[in-house]
Amino acid sequence: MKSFFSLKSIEENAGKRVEHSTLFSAVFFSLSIIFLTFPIFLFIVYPIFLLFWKAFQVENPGQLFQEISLRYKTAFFHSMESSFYSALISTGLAFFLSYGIRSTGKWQKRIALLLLSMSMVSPPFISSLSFITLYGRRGLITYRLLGLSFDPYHKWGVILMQSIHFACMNTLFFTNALEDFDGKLYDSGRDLGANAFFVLKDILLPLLSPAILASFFLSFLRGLSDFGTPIIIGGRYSTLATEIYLQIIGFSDFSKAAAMNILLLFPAFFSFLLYRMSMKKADDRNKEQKGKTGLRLDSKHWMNLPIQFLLFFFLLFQALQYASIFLYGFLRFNKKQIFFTWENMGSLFQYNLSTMGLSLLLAFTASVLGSFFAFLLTYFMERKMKRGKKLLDFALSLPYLLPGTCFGLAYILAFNKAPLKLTGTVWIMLFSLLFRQMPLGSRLAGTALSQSPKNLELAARDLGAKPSMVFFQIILPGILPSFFSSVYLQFSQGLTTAGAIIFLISAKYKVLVYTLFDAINRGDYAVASLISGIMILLSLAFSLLLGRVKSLVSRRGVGK
Amino acid sequence: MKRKLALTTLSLLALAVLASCGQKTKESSVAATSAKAEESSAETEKATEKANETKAEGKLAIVATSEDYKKLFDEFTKDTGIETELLSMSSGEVLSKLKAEGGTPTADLWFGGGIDAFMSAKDSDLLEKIDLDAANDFASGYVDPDHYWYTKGVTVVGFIVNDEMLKTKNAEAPKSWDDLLNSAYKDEILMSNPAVSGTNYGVVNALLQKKGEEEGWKYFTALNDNVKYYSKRGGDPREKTAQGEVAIGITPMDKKTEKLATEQGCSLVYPEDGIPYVPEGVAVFKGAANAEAAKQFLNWLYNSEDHLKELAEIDGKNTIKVVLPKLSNVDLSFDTGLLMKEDLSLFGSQRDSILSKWETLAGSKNEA
Amino acid sequence: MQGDFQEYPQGKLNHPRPSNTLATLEGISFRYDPKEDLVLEDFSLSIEAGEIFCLLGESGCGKTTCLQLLGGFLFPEKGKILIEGKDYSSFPPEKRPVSTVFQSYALFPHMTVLENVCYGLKWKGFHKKEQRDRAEKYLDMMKLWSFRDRMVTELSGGQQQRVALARSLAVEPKLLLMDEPLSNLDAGLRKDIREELADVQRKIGLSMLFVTHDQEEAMELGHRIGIMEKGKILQIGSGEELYLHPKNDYIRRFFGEYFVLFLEGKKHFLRPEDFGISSEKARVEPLSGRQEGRRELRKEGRVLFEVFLATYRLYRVSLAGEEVHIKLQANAPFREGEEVWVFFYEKEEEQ
Repeated sequence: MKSFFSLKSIEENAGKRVEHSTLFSAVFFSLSIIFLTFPIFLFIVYPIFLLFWKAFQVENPGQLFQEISLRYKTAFFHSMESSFYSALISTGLAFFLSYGIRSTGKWQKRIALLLLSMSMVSPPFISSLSFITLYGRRGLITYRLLGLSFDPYHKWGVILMQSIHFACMNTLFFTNALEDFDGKLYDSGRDLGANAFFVLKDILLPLLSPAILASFFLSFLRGLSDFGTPIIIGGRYSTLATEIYLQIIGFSDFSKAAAMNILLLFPAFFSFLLYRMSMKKADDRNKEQKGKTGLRLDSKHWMNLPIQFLLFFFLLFQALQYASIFLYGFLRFNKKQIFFTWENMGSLFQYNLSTMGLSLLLAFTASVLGSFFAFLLTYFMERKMKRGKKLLDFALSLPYLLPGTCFGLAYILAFNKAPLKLTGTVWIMLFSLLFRQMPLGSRLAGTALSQSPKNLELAARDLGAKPSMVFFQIILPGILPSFFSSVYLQFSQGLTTAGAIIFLISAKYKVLVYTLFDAINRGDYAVASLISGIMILLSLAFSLLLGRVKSLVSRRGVGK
Repeated sequence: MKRKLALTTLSLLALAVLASCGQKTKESSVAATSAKAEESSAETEKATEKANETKAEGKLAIVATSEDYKKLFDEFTKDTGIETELLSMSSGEVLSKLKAEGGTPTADLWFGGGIDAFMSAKDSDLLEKIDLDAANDFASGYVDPDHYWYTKGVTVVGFIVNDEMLKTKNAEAPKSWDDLLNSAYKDEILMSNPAVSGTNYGVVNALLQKKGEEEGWKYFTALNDNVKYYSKRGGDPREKTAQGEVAIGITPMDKKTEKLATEQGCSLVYPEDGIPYVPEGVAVFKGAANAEAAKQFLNWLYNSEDHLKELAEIDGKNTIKVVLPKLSNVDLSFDTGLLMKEDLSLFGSQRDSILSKWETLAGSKNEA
Repeated sequence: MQGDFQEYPQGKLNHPRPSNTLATLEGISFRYDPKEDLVLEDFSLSIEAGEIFCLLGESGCGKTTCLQLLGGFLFPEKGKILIEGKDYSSFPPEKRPVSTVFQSYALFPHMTVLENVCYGLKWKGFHKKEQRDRAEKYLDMMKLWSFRDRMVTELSGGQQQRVALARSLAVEPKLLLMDEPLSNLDAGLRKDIREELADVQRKIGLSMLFVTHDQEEAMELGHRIGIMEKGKILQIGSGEELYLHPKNDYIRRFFGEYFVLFLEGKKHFLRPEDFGISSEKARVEPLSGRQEGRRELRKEGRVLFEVFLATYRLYRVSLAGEEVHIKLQANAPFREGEEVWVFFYEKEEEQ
């Protein structure tokens, strides 16, 4: 009798324990979702919503929208047109560039990657200055060398410059994707008789569709919100983003700017839906763990020749442009005569270079924290969340939808009062850098995760890994290359982009981009070039450092 | 080798970060001592109160058109013990930022920038009324009748000309505004969008005043055919002209333009049929934490001819004399007769209507 | 016997020596990186028409490299690769008359089963209809016909393996290269597919190079087995030859447990089935059989442990401190703790 009783109580306890642990994990899960999505809400959705709300704070919002859609029809069409072409060309170009890098020798590869990571650093204004110096109507290369008078101030100038600029980042995207690609699939295609061209077409391209889609989608968004390029080189070709910029700088008309930005939301949302749909299809293919055979591209096929040529000229193009930035810093112009001089170096130190420290600190913190957060959140979103996935993912893409100035303004609108008073502090700068590049991190994470087999995670759980540890111990090490790319990209972007942060700096906390702008404002282009050079060198140093850390980490991983 | 490199870069990075932190702590200690100095030198009870406030709120934060003015503010700090911080920003950015901040500005003093922005800011109730000791010394139109803004000089507008480019077109350099309509200059003129550039808004307004509404708009319609495009950056016309992208740029004639012209072998033209000009504003932000310190600075500046002279030296021009005709120690380098006759009081009130009309005019070509 | 064992199988052959050579690796040297050591050095191997040749070795011994060289995924630094007398050394994979079945199958995840199998046929110049017919024929052969329109990702591991096989067979290569194709499957499936593979091979008389680290697999499938270590083939022969007459201890150990006994001043290498046990109550001959006319040697021992394992009975016997494992017929009567005599027949040619 007694023994029976105790047996029952044991059973009951056991039952409770099971219940308790599932309850516990459910609570843990919900908590972590809240913990992870709350910052997204606070630092992305809320400020952007506040800005958009401005569009409805006028007397007759309907009329405002009507007016705007009429007035800016052409600009809207231009936005779509240039973003589409830029996304298409930059994605295509990037694919072939990364293909070229993959199939080239070790040393060429290293140089190519170094040049590419340098090109990721595009100091505002100065890169376009050097572009025009080299390729403008009186450009050193187009006019003085080739005798062409080339007028880039039109649609194709914008598309070309955007494409080249976006291509650098996309190439890094594809380089990662190719690194993760299962080489056996490529080998097997060739084994069955397809030559390099057809394997590329039938196997490589369809299977790389997640990376291709992500790259296209990101570039399209960046194109939509890019106001800098059309301003510099668009001439009379103006896009919605430049018109938004004009509304803010010229008229301080937030309602109109917000309404115009809402207009941009439609193509962005549409492209997002397409992106998610295709991603889902691609994702289903990656249930199995793959072999760890690296991809060995056929380097003897005729196709390789034009690709290597393309790579060479692209890199040459970049190298010249960046070399001219450095060179410009050591030149003195007088009555069209050019002298070599060190004197700009001297005047460099009259500028407030202490901004360098804060810039580095901000860029570094934002890149590491931001990438980590983006990867963790994307992992949770893609693998754990059942509902609200799409919504969250779209929220993550939002920061790229706004021209930088709007993003900065949205932050000021959201954080100018207690209890969320952040204006004038260093925090608002950090958060803006951190969340502005969230789309980049989450897209990189998404692509990497789609290549990372799902059953690996199950295996880890099966072996007793705690759910909370799976990400750190299993998932993250597996997608480390993408993580490091994300850190680097965010760092270089954080160091050099001006859009949002130029609105958020205060007299107390200034960054290097500001010093650069100050030099330009004073007409000191040589010093501005030197500051750009410093930015490039800092980024390069960081990329080398990161490469070192990466090899240390992965070596330790193998040792284990 | 590689390891060494990595270590070096790491230590460099660390050093840079440390250096900047070090600097910050140094700055703040200086601030503390100066605040004490300020306290002891307080003259009246009220002043002490304000000084305490200053100490609590920190340094006087200034938004200016460039950090060139640092010298001037350093001088002020030496005289009064009030620490300053300087930030340079374009006036369009300042205005937007100010509006977004919703009455909690992160800066105190607005120093320089096209007067239209100041007028607009006053209309949006973003400026603090201040009565300066020298308020009555200002020439009419150079101070807000309600004392919300003052001015510190004027920006005059002219042309920067790339002679080499003109040579290939077999054209002479333009001498006047009317010359710009010459069909030889087709697509060779760059002008900033007047919505973005206060100086170019000045051009449009001044020419409209000079020629009268109807003739004026006719002029701009004709000019539109020669203008390659309207840049959305104020610096573009001079930079692109110097680089040989266009032959003529309509630009503020300041130190930077002169520097660029000498460096790149361009010439500068002051139009014979009148030089448009735009006053450069000075104001204190509404709700500024250190409004009193800002006022103190302005009195410090306008009450002393020496300080004004120093400002003129930094600006590289003596146009402060236009603003304060009483000044005795600076002389204008050009004849004020060359300046266009402008009714500055119309600058603010006409802005919206002029820009919207201008937009339709230029817009038709914008869509090309 | 110590001669050039890389060229032809030696010893007492049980199956007819194949007559014509299909593929040859001739004096191949290869390394992955110019800075690293050679993986293969002056390596030679030939595969006869119609045979299954198994390359057997531990991972890292160079067997997969060898296969990839034949497949055209790697190119030798020195030496030639001949298939039917033609030099293919510098030909890309798509131009070689061979096909590879990969360890992880390498099926194209964005295609259906049928599309996967048709993919290779596209490049052989077949029309759409012919492609389909032919693909279906091979799918049928692999008992996959009903799955033809499924996505490959929906299939089980064994099914995927058979698709991979069908895909490679469909292009009718002169030589099928298989890279540990069964290692990802569980034991039961492995056995089934092994049998299927042997059947198909017999049916179409295909030549295969089969790379594996599993000696049982090699013995079951391989007409000839080449055992590799550190980029060298140590011995080539049938499974029986390698098991019974290994050239050295490495090969002997690779093929299973053995014991070394010192008796009458001589070293004896013995497998568990070479021992018999006798006691006062019974005598059970070794599983490898009674050897008439050979000298019988014996040693005293004690049974430490015995267990019935269906087809045989396993004993652990202590021979004066040395422990040996003995396999006897399943009804052997000896029990734990018994004092017994362990005996074996002296071999002819012990070194």
